[in-house]
Amino acid sequence: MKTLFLYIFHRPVWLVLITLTIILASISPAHLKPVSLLQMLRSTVIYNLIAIGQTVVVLSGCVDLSTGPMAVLTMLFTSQWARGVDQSLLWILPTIICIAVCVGTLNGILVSFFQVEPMIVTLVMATVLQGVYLLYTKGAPKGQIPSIIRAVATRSIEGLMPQVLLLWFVVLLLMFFISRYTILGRQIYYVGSNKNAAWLSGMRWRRTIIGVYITSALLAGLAGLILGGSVGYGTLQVDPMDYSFFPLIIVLVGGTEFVGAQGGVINTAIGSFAISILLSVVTLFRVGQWGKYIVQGLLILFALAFSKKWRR
Amino acid sequence: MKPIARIFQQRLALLFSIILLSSIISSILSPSYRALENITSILEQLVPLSFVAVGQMCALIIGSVDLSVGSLMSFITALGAKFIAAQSTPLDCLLWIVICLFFSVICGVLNGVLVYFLEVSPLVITLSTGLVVQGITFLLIQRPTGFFPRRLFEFLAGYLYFFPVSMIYLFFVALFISFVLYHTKTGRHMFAVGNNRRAAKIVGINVQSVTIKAHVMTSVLSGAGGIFLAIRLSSGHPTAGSPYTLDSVIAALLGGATFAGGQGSVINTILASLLFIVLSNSLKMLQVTPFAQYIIKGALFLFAVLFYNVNKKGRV
Repeated sequence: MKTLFLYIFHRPVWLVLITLTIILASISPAHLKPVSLLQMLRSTVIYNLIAIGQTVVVLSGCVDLSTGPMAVLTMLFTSQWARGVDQSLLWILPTIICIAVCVGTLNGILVSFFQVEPMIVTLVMATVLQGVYLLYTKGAPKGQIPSIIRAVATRSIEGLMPQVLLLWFVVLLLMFFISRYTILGRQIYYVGSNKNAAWLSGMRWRRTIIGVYITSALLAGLAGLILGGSVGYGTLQVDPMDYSFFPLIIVLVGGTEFVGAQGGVINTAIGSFAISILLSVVTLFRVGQWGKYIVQGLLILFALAFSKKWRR
Repeated sequence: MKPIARIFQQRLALLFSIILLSSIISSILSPSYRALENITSILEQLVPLSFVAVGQMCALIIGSVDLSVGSLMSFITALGAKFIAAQSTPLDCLLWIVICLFFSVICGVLNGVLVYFLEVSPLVITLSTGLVVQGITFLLIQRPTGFFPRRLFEFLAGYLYFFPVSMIYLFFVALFISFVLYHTKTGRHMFAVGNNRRAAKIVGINVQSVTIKAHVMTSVLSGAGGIFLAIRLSSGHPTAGSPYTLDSVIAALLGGATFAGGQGSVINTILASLLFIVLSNSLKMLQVTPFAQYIIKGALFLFAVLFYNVNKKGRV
């Protein structure tokens, strides 16, 4: 019993999950049906997708705050370029992949070769990306998202299982497999736990970090496509930094430690459940913009306060 | 490579020459840039940014950083919008300033305590306290509102012919901060903690109190910057301060502070802020689209990073 208690207490995600489920059950029991739980997960699927990329970055001891603007940039560029034509995706998707690879590489080079604080590098990158899409769209985005992407983003299988959740699940399994069972994945953990040791044992840790940032940027691009698909057209009415902070919160609450190499993709999956329930509870209480910011800030502090250091 | 590195190390001269060069180019190209009103406007814009950048430098000296400064500034403008109206008396204004500084001190103590005790990267901690402060700001006002009567703030933001009075405050605060940093025990301890935290602890410096003091300095200076920002805007704005977070970090880095800690100079930081303002002002005067500002910031940051790399010798 004591071990069970300690297990739960030391993993903030379980505390969050249990408390929130009790609150949700007492406010509206209808929310606990499997269908509504799936819908809850669907509502945060964009955060969840970015969070998988963020997990990999945090595992290697860095952080990526440029994911949000990257996602919004993808959405805006796709809508502007495609104007609703499906065939244009043939050249748009490779272009988006190129942009994501460039952004990730730039982040990675600044972090690994120039050894600047990852958080500052990616915050500046976030500002620059916002500048790029504002310059390109001149503040008034045009066009439409192709119908294929809209179909993928909005349809559900048998009216129950949203397709994007399936997509998320596939990406999750893929990343789980890569991080657990391939040399590439183990290298991420190795770099995260001790960069110097990794370097001394002949590992090219700079390449690993660049790769990690590219993964994050690619997943942010994918999330941006789904964001565009759910809205239907490019819009500036979203707060780009939401898509940077909520994934980070999911990762930290899930139990992946900020120091690197602690936790993993499965932790993030549980974190996604917790945050999707939390956000629906917050929505039920009808708090406005101020509530969003306070919840974001307090959650990060909460996750840090429960971090592994205190278990000694 | 050697002569280039030497120029990079003469930061003061370098910053000064860049400022001079960009000013000369833009005053040749644009007549409105060399107008007297524009110089007044540049000096006025310099004050809030310099305050925050010097504050940010104090945090960077001890090897910490404060990403909550922007939210704190927005909070102060929001507080002003709630507090001050057209029929306010000078006493109200003084009360507002005192309350602002009081809140800044609380914010600084909170940041310092969390940074010292949680022992996680100060970036994340101050980012999340900044988010909480931003939330409280949105609780106060949701959109730009409020009105600051100009006559009440003559003593803070009036003009001597074309020269803004706020520059005089900046001058004295800069002198005071230089004195604290270079000639008092607290200041020397801050540099010691930034240079080598372990060694500082071993020789008996109270790292906890130094950390908290440095963060209080950061918050109070950015609070003062917020007061000048609010007066310049003459209203409250829930996100007016947010660009200052990154701008202050970049200005402090350009001015010679590093994330590793133990370095920083007040005069260089103020010059770096001037460079920031002059560049963005020239772009405005040359009628470049305002969205290009974001990209200029990125370029300046890259420049600062290159500085940082050249100056940092013997790294692993």
